[in-house]
Amino acid sequence: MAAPDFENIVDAHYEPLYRFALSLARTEHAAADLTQQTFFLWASRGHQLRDAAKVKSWLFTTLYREFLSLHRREVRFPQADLDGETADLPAEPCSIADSIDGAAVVAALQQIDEVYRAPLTLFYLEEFSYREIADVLNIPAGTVMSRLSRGKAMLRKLLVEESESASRKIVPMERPPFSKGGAQ
Amino acid sequence: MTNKDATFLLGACRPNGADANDLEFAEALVQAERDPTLKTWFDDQRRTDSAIAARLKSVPVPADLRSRILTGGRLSQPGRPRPWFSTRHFWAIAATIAVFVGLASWYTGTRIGTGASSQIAATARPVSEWQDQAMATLTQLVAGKAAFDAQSPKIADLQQWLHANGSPVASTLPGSVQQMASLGCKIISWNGHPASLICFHGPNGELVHLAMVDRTAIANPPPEGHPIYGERNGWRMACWSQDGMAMMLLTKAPESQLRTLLAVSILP
Repeated sequence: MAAPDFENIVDAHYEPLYRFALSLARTEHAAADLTQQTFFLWASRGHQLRDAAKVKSWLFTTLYREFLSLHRREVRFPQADLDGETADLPAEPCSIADSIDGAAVVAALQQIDEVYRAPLTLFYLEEFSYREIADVLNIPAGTVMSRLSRGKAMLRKLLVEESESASRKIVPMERPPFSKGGAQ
Repeated sequence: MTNKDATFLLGACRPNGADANDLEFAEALVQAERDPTLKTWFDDQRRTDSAIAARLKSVPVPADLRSRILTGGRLSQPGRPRPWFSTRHFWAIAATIAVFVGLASWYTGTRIGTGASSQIAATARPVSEWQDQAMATLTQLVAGKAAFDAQSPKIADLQQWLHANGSPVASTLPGSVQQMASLGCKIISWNGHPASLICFHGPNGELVHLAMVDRTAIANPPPEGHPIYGERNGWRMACWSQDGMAMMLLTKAPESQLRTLLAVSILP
């Protein structure tokens, strides 16, 4: 492929790919390497892809496969088949929307098991529908829904805990000002 | 559809509205408009999902990542002509010829009683010529005028490939070098010997390269056990000998980069 095409593709996708990689690989260095490796593979093999509309899907799929191949031993698969599981309505309304930042979201995502983390991150990046997420991760669409349902509940719980923990942090009290009638 | 079924479906509905026209969600969305309990849940879900999505998309990306990707992409684009001497076929043919030449020289030597085999051995040449050859090939690789013979982010894969293709490669590399993500490798021919080149992503975003050749090919090989640092044509390099090979680490980054990478003992 010509160099400008490659550059355009990089510009269009490298940021969400890096954020996906960061949630998977846990460190910025590893995420950058994973993102870089994905584009490296695209530059060497991407010309084999005939449907240009599938570039984004190819990149995310490749990044995920590269992650799995590098961290195969760390991946823990759930013992139970999650298909068919349903979610309960949350017991109480979630009030975390205004009290979190990007780092807190990534930190919380990284605490969640990889089988939930990958679909969850793709969902929040909003790049793919749940069916497309199923294609990227090579799992059934119903499994994506199950994992999103469970994963979102876990993420909210972690974010609420983080938010409550932050609000409980001790803040040093401001020293009272000297009174005007103090010692001279 | 029960509310429980609806929440299960709507949980997969992206908060930015991209799935609003997806028929899969249509019934659940209508139900969410009609049922106050479900609506309250869905509104809260969307508000929280929107906040999480916005925060995730605000996570900063390393400033040098784009340039690193573009550099790596230039190095790996396919379709570039490969020099005839870098192909597997060449080395297979060369090995066959070497065997025949070896047999012929042995036969001749036994017949006339002279050291004929010494006449075909390449004369050792200055280390500077090897450095020039390595730098010239690396410059071509970086400029996209040459392509790797093998690619992998895992150095172990490239070590295995080089070994399988008869090119010199140290089985043990300095710890920091071993930990870098590799890009690819290339076999070149120098002074009648195969020489190996491996390219890495350096720790600070720049490229770092490792060159290896049989030590006997060099008239003034670098010392064993400790590197000698130098600069040549804009390249910073560190040279040492190891396992019968002359080793050279090169980069365009400051020399301190090489010193950091080789801070641990280079002896296995």
